Amino acid sequence: MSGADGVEEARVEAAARAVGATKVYGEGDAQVRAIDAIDVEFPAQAFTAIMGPSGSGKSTLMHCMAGLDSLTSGQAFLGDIELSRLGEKRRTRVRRDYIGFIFQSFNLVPTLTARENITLPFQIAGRKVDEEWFDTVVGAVDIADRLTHRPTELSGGQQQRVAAARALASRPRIVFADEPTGALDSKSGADLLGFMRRAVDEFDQTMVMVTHDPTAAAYSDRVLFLADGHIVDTMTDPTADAVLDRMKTLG
Amino acid sequence: MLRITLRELLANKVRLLLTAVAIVLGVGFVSGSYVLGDTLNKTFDEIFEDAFAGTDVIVRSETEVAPDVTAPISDGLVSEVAAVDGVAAAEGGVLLNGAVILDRDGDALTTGGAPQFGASWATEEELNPYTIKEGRPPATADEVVIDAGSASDGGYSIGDRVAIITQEPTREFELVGIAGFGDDDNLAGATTALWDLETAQRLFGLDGQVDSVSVAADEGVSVDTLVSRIDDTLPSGVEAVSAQSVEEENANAIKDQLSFLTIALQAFGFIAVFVAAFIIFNTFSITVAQRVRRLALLRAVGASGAQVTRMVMAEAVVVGVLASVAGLFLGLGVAAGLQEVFKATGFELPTTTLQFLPRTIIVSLATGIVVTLIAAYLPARKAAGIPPVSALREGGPDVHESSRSTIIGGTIVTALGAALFFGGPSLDDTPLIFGSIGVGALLIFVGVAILSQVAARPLASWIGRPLQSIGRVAGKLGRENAMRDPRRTARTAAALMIGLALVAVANIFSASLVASTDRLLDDQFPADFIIRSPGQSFTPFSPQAGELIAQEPGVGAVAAMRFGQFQVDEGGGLSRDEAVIGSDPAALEQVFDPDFSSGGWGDLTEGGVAISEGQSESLDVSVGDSIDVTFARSGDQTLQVQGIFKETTFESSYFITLADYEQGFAVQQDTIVFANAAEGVSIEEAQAQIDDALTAFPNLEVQNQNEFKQDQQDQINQLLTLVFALLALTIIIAIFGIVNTLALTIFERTREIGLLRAVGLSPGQSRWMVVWEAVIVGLIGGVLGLALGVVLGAWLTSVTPDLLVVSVPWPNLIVYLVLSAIAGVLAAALPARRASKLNVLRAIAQE
Repeated sequence: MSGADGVEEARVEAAARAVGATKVYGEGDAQVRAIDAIDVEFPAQAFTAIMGPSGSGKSTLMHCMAGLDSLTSGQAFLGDIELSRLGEKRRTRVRRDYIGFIFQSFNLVPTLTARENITLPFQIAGRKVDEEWFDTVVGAVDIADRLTHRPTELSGGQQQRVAAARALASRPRIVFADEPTGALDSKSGADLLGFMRRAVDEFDQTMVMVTHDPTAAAYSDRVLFLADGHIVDTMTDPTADAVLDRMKTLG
Repeated sequence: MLRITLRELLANKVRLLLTAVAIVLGVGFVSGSYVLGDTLNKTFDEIFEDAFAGTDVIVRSETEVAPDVTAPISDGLVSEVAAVDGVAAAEGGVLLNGAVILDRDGDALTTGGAPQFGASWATEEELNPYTIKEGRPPATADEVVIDAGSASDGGYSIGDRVAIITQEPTREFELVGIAGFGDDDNLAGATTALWDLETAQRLFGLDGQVDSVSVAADEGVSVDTLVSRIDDTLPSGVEAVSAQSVEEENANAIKDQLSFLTIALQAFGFIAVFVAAFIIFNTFSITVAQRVRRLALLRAVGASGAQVTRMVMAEAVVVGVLASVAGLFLGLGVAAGLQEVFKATGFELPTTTLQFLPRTIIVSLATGIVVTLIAAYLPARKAAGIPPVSALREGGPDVHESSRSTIIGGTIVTALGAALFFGGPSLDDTPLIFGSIGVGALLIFVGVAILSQVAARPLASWIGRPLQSIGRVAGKLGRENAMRDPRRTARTAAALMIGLALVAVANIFSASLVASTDRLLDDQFPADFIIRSPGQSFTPFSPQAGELIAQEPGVGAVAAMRFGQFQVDEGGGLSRDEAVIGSDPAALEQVFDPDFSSGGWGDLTEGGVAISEGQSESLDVSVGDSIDVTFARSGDQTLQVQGIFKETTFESSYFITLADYEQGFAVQQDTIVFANAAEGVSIEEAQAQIDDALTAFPNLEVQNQNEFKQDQQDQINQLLTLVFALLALTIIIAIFGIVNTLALTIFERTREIGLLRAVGLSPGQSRWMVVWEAVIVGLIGGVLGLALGVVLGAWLTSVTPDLLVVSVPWPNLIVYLVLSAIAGVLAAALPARRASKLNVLRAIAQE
């Protein structure tokens, strides 16, 4: 897989993309099309936000793009890798090696220290930690003095920053964040979003964030608006007010 | 509240099932041990009922020549008894234990411990427990009837010549009839050969004598009246008793012997319930912890703490009742299974339909329900302490009991247990000693289990350390999980700890028994050969065997041992029954050295006796003094003490010369013969000669010293196998406990596992993570259990009188440690599968 990376990435500018991505839950009358024939690209080294009301399909889109869920039809690509064709075993390896995650809560393994949580993907893969990069990331999220602490000894904001550091530690091709600030106060939330922004600008990372908070979305380069399983609009260089206005029309 | 309880239970069927399994198995074992015990008792009641079906009164000697065997009486009494008014029929009979039927190939039929009877055929049908199934009764000296079981085992049919060994070497008789015992093919697995009275008397060496006279009463004559009428006509030393009392005597004698077995089985059953209690306690603790928010919600909407306690206890009642009822019926299967286990390990027991008495139902249900309630009480109390505010908090509160109170509580319980356990043997009453040791051991287990809650974290850390390099990330995560809730880990391991401690104790005991037997043989029995009936049945055999061996040129000293029982005058008008052994002192000198403190085999002559120091002290006699004894046949005699020995194996045995034995007893049968090779003759050569000499005695086994030791070891190991089979259930319950904890834990950690899977942990790695945690739990149980077992077992062995050597079988213990890790792997199988099959999306989406 990795041998072709340089060539492929030069050609495909998107870090990830979907073609006709459709996910159907249930059968018969109870059938729900969570996402319906979505075509979308997530550009590399950019920060994309996905917004939409509850049930719009934003989480489903993210799960399918991140190899956590499979599509009913259509294709999902991570670079040149077609996720929709992989079995669970290989998708697990792709997640481990190429994708970073930040969830809304419960991001950390309670038995492991902050440092162990950040290096978890390396331990799972049985690979050596890139110490220089590790120090850079840990410095950026400002948790260098909390590395030996366990999650219960960290504040909510610190926990999310540890999670962000973990997501970036393996230099993934893309980081997916699912309502990362949903459980944080505004100050902690701003710190985390600021870091995510820096990760894109300074470290050339690719971020995709699902959120319903216009303020959070304002940190992104581009916002995708979802409703009823379709992408209904996009907005580049968003501001919180503009996003809020757009959201009002989506109900 | 009850409705909520039932909803909760039904919503968690798997949890209900897992909780119940431990109790079902434990109660099943208790119920099964009672069912089996009652079935055995019933079996023997039926047998003896059949044996005396038409008999009302028995006339017999008042003297016993062996436990429950009376001396023969003159057959002239038969006609006198028959003449008594009210007697419908009277008939004398003889009975011999040691009539061995050979099969068509000339090999002795074996019984697995049941007697091998020879008897006279009673011509009065109502006095005869046997019925002819085929052919006719024996009429001449050349005719025999055998039981249907032996006929089919030996491959015989009417008209065949059947070879039988009695007091004489093998002789052939014509098979004229095949008999059944009542409706059965034989008497509780025993083989029986039946001759006419005169032939039987001659074959058993009882010319002119009978063992007893069976009497049937005329109609309308009560048994009591007849007993006293007959008793009036009898000479002194002979008594008339009702057949029913003899029947009860015999049945009780066997029940007494079996009671050891049933008590042992019940003990194992209660151990299983005890272990199950740990699992119930642990399961309820976990489920209460997992329901903190829901229980707190109930508190928040107004339920009192007591109501929450009652709710959890109601759950325990439902689980306890359902599981106990299921266990009760499982007991029937367990009883049948135990019979198979006994058969497989060489202890075949006769059987009738399984007995399911009300007592079994009451005991089983009470045990299961009470134990469940006791085990659930503490978690239920803890549930009451959940503050309503917990409902609003993210995650449960970390209820941390102080380790200080745990250590103090655990130490007190352990110390109390140790006091009872180690102090037990200094008590003076046997049941009290066993009770004290047993309760002490249980308290030690509970105490150590409490203490291990504090020790589990460092233990898990230490045991799990190597796993981090073996199991890599899965090993590390497994280790962290085992350390995360040390109390839970400790309680889960406790059940396995108890099982393994008992395994270790049993093994140390048996290894010490083997070593002690070897030492005993080396020190005291320098005999080259031991000749006896195979196995542990100690069926006596004809003295001709020993005589034939002695004639071989390659054989040196031959000491036959003839066992009997006589009465010893204790002075002051009291007397007691003691075992007596007749043998040849000159030969004993060569083969048996009981460590004489004064006198010796060389001093033992006719009219003399050699006794142990214990006996000499209790009778207050020394060498040169005389003691008064009463033999069955020769009556009152005075014997001079000519030797006093220290050895305790034959603590209560009186050694006399063969000549005195022959005077004293009517029947002459050897139980064991020791022999040496002659000077300059090799063991192999001598053994070949003995084998040749005994071709007419295929019922006997010739073993040299090494073979005999091996045989003893095999017997002990067979017993150990049986104990292990019984302990296996306890271990299985313990494994279920681990399964239970893991399943509940994985349920609890669904989101965490989902997270791990999301960031790239493979299904295989998550499976191994669970397996490693289980291995650590298993090894904690193993390490603690074996350590406890070594301490308790070695000490128990050292205070057991007959065990001279304490032997700890370290290689075996290491094997058990490995097995406890494997137990963990087995327990992890299903939960680990579940963890690996976890749907990542659902796991992380779960709120």
